[in-house]
Amino acid sequence: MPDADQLLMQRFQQGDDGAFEVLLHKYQGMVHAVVRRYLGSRYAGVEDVAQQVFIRVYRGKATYQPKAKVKTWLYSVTVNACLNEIRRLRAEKNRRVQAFTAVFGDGDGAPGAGPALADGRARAPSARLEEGEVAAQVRAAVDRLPEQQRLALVLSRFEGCSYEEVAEAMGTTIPAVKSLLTRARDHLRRALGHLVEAGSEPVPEGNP
Amino acid sequence: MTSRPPSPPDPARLSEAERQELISAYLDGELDPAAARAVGQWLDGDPEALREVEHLRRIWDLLGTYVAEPARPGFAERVLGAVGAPAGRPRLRLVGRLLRSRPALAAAALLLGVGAGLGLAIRDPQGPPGAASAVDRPEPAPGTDVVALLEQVPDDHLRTLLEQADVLLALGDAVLDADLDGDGG
Repeated sequence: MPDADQLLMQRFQQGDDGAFEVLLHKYQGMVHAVVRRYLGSRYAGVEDVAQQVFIRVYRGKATYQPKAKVKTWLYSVTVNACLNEIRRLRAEKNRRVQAFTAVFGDGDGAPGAGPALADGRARAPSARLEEGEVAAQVRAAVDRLPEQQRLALVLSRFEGCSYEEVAEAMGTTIPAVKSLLTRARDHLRRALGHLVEAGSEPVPEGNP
Repeated sequence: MTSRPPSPPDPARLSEAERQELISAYLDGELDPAAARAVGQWLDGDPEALREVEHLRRIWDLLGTYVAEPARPGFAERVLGAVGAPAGRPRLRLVGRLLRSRPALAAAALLLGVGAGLGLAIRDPQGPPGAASAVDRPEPAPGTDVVALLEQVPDDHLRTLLEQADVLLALGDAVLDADLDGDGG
């Protein structure tokens, strides 16, 4: 028995744009959250990528398989849109580095850590300082996770997906998801462990 | 569930990497009941391991401070514009059609709509430019034309209602089956 989302998708596939609009309203927050956390807290093009997701859904409605869970399918579309954006930004960064190197030579290398997806529209430093220091450290720690670990973390921890759903959205296996999340936990323990002393309560927001 | 081993794992016999994966799956609620019980028993007898698990759990909880900002107002309309789909009316028609199939739900939804409108009016007494005050709008009688009534709600208010009142969508979900059956589609 199809659920309500599946029925809406079927309706949308039959040409009812109103059904698409209902899905758009229902899932826009989810898509934005995944894009934001996956592409990094300093990334400024979240809305553009989120828009791409829904444009792909609209134009690719025929690719939706009626038995698939709409939410899981949307995660896959979102992940693919993010991966395309990462590839685009990397190519752009490489071009910039090559142009810079051609002019100034091969000096100090760019820092390797971090999602490196910030661009000229990124948040001003003062905006971060105004927010809780703990939250800023958490965001930075998530940003620094390797890409695949970060994606698994976003889908599992923030979106509440099961390992099976994460695996489906990422196009990988459940054991691989298990491994990614274990390594993500290890990274986060090293990055944030000082905020949570063993045997004590978590440090409250704003009191590092 | 990640896997269903024939017997619960014995954490004491696992390698460090395997133990870490087991703990991670335990914290994520991905173990089957027998494995979860086995890990629970192990932790009961190993205070050091229990501290480690608690430490990891608190770090995981800390991630809750990472709040992603919501979509900017008007996002849906920008998407609809980008794909060339007409905004607003199809949604009104769909929601109206869903609700019309159940007068009692329609009445409940409209009461929610009026409530949301009042809430919006309180938060934003002037409302969107050119919009009539939600307070001045006549309260609909149950069983009247839901589409016509919904169309009286200013688009900005309806948009906010749709974005914020999951209840309305849940009501729509509840009647969707009947609506589709009625359409034969």
